[in-house]
Amino acid sequence: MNLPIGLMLASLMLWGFQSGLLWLGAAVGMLLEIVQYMHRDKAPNALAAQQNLPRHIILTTRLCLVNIGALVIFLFNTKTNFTSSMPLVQWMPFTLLPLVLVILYSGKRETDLSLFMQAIGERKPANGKILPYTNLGYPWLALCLLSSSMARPPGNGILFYLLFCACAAYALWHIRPRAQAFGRWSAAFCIALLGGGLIQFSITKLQSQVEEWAMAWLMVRAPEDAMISQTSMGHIGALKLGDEVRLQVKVRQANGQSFRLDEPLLLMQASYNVYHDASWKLTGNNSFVDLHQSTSNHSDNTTRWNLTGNHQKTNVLLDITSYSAFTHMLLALPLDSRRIEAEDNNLTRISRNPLGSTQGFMQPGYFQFRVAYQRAHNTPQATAQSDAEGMPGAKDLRIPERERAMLTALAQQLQLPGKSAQQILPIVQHYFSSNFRYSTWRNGVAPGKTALADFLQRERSGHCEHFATASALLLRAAGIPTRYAVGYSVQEPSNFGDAYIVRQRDAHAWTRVFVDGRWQDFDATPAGWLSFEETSRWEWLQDGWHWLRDKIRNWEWQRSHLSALTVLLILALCMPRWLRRRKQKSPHTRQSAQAKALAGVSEAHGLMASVLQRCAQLDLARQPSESLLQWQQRIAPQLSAPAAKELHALVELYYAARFGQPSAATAAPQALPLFEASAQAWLKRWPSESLLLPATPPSKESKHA
Amino acid sequence: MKLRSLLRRRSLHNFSAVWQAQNWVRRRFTRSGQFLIMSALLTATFGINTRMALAYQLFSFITACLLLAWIWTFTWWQKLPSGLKITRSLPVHASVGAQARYHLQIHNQSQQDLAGYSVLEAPHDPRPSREQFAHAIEPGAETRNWFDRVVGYYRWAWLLHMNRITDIDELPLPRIAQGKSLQIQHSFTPFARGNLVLRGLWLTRTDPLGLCRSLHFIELPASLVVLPAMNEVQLPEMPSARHAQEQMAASSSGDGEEFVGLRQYRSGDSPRMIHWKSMARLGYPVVKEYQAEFSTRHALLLDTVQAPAGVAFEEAIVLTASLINHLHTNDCMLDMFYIDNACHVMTCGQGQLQPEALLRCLAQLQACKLPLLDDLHALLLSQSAQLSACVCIFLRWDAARAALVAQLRKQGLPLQLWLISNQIDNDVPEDVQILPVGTISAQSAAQAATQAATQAAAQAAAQSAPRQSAPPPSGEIR
Repeated sequence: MNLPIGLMLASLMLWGFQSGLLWLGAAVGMLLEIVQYMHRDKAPNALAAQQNLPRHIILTTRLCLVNIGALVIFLFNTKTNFTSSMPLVQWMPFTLLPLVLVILYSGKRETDLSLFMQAIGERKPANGKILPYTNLGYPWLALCLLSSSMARPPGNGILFYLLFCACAAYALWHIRPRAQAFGRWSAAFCIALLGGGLIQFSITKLQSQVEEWAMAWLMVRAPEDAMISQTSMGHIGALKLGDEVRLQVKVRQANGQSFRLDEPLLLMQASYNVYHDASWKLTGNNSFVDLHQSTSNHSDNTTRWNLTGNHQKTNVLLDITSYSAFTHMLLALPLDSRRIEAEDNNLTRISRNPLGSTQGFMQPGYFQFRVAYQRAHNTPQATAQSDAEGMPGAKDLRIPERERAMLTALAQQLQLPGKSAQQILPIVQHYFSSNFRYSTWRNGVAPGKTALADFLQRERSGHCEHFATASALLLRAAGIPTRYAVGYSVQEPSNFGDAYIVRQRDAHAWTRVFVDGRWQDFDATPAGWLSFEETSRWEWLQDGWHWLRDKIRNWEWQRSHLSALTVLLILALCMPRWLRRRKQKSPHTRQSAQAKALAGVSEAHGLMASVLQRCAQLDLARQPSESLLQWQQRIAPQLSAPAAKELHALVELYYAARFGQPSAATAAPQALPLFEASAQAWLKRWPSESLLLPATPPSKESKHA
Repeated sequence: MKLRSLLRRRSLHNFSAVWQAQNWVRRRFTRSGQFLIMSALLTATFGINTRMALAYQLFSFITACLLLAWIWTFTWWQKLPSGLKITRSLPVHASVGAQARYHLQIHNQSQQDLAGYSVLEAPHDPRPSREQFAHAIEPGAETRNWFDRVVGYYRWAWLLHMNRITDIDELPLPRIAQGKSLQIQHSFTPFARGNLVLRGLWLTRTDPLGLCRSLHFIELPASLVVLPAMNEVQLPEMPSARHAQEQMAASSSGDGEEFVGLRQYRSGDSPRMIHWKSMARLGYPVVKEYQAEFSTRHALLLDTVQAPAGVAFEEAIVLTASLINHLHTNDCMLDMFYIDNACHVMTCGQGQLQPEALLRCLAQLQACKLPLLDDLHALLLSQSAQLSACVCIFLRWDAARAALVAQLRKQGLPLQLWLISNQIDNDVPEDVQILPVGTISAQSAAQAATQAATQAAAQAAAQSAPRQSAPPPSGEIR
């Protein structure tokens, strides 16, 4: 183990600096430096003392393994959230310290790595070394630097980077190629230093981007949960939702004429009544009850569900197109929805929970439905909706104990107690719009504070979940029953067609208040919050694609039967021809033909080997560099004339059989059996003793041949 | 069986691909660079979440260093100057376990000095063929579990090791001024027998941080036969029925041993033959070589018919080589009967081939799967009349071998029989010397360790002794 002087001390001091244990790092580093200095390149006369070194290393390695096990047990029992390996890595230099001391004390530069394998039970290799001898100094240095990077969460990033680079510079300088000039080395190092900073910046941006993509992906694929809504109130960093289109909404009057919305339309997916630890839950009776299909019109294949229990007037129709990866999802519906209609079994079933969350059942994929609702709020019919969403209960006024004092004080400060609901709502709206600002960036929660208290008392900026939660609980403190609602805000007209586009980033949270005997939407988020959301410059392209896909899908639905018929017809026409071709080119057929050919060639090779063997017995062996033809021509004068002539023919046949020689008269497929027959005949006719005889008269068989 | 062969094929393909990538990294990056690549992977693992730890900063810096080094190797100032001429002079052969030296002659006829370069030999591709991989049996194969046997990583690693023959370290070149030449010595120690083929060499130059190499390939094909290792053999006195030897040279007659010359020490030589004066002058062991007067004719049968490549096969070759070394020095003509793709016999001594020819043949001998046992035995029996003794090395014992031995005994031929196998039946005759597989390897390892210690002590002694000014006795070395 060998490192430049001071490098171990520097790395352990960096570890100590990051861990807040500078004295410990410096002390251990100094100890290691002293041991290394005193035992560096121990003299050969100490070799006798090192005979026991392998045994010491094996024992110390086992001790280190025990250390690691003990550390795991300790961390598991003391850390409440011991879920990552980081604390383990952080303390690794100290768990391996005995081993490092033993290796340093031995004074050897290189250590036999197979000893570590033996320490964990591998057998000693019988012959020769399997693993190399290695200088463990630099792996140890890398471990110290890695463990120092685990020690503290980000905060002093640049300082750590510079200190790390200083250590790295020392190490790299030590191993630099001696032929390189100092100027080049320092220029290269500076470029690497800056490049490293650039890569860091890119990595952090990439992580943010990946998180956004992952969140968008999950939000598309995971169904909304009507039981709980986990807010992002404690989230650190930017909260950004994607541009993906989630809904397409066409707004029409009852007479079918489309019109533009003059204010954002809120479509609720779910509402919750109890707040606890940055999440909203639905407690009490939370079961979904199936709605009865009120009408099924067989002429246009439309199914209807009445949401309010009795026929009431509606003045607006929404045609909503959405996508579901599952067989059910929470439908986004406006306040005072009266009726849902779906054609062609786009929705097969609908159920509702006591808080008005509506769940639709469908085939996975795109689906369409129509919602009829009463847009004007101050009509007597609007009160009927309260039946559907239930009357307020005690839970709609519950405030968490941790927030109660703060919210009561705030309500007192705003002089809310004693005022009517109609008076309180504008005050709260004004309070949030004038004292708070919308932001998707969070710096984290101050120590000892809840996310809500941090928002109301310190940060005074947040996103819609902050405003909805704060306003809901503040109004409860003022005695008004409230619920927390999540869904979408519809406000962006599409560039393609007359529909509205609802994107991922239009996801919204607001408050539902029970005023004047009915539930009403109350949105405390400052107006224009959507302008804070970042938009992509390629959004138009995405919208165009979405529009085109929608068109194609509609066309497919209409033409599905015809398309299926066309495809079947084409298949019916093409299949026989394709099957014929497939049979001709079947790999099995080809393989069997190849296998047959190879088997034949192998047999031919064996016969030729026998011929060669026969000649080799007469000291006419073929030289390694000779081709068969050269060999035959060389030995021909020593053979009897007929034998030489037949051998020549045999060699030519062999060439034709093996390589398909163009000069050969016979084509390869016919040559193979011919060669086999000829070779067997030759071997039979010409035993070793008669090969060399000068022109012996051939036997009867050869005459016939 | 189909699944097993499919798995084997896939394993071979995967191992081959991994080796190719690994070889590329080893050639392209220095050891520091390889260490940084490993560190980058480690820090990437721990630094994947930039909000939890600062390991991503380590990763960033290491990646930047590696990228910079990589790009630097393509810059114009890393370009090799034209006008370099390199020649390499390899020895005729080398031996397993013995250090072999060779020289490189570099002529710098370019317009600039050559500085910061190193030489990296480019050996042949050592990856085993499908055939080799399918039939070889690696050491300790019998102790492996089913998965290891089917996947065959250990077999792959062993075959790669055997095919690699040797590892030749990178050789840093000193500065060579323009117009100057340099002759530099390099050495390597083979660890396996075979034909070492060198395609050429890479002239390399690292980036300023010393992480990545720029490579310039120079085609310089050459090959060298690495002779098998030779152990000391304890052979009983072989019978010396003195047949008339027409081939014997008159000048070498006589009962006493006659000094012939000196040669470099080979593994298996007796330390008593070391010529200490020459060794002190040269710095490496040199042995005296003698030639005897009378020769008898011995047969050496290496029966590896249908034996798979494996430890037993390699040990048979080591034993054969050791016997050739032993028998030759005891003055005899030696017929070696062996099988490759056909049956062969080679004769050395007394004006015939030199024993090195037999060793070279052994060095390149591969396992044979053809059933030519009868042919081999027929070949031996056809020449048994001229023989005075026969040494047989078998890898298995069966009825055919027993019949051969009986026939040889019937002819009154003195026999020395060896059987290298772990599967011993009861019908093996008592005079067959049984060597369990692994015995010869262990002996070789022990001998190599002793030899290394002797060489280290000799080098230490040579370094401590005052350097003599006498020129090396190159004329005396054969």
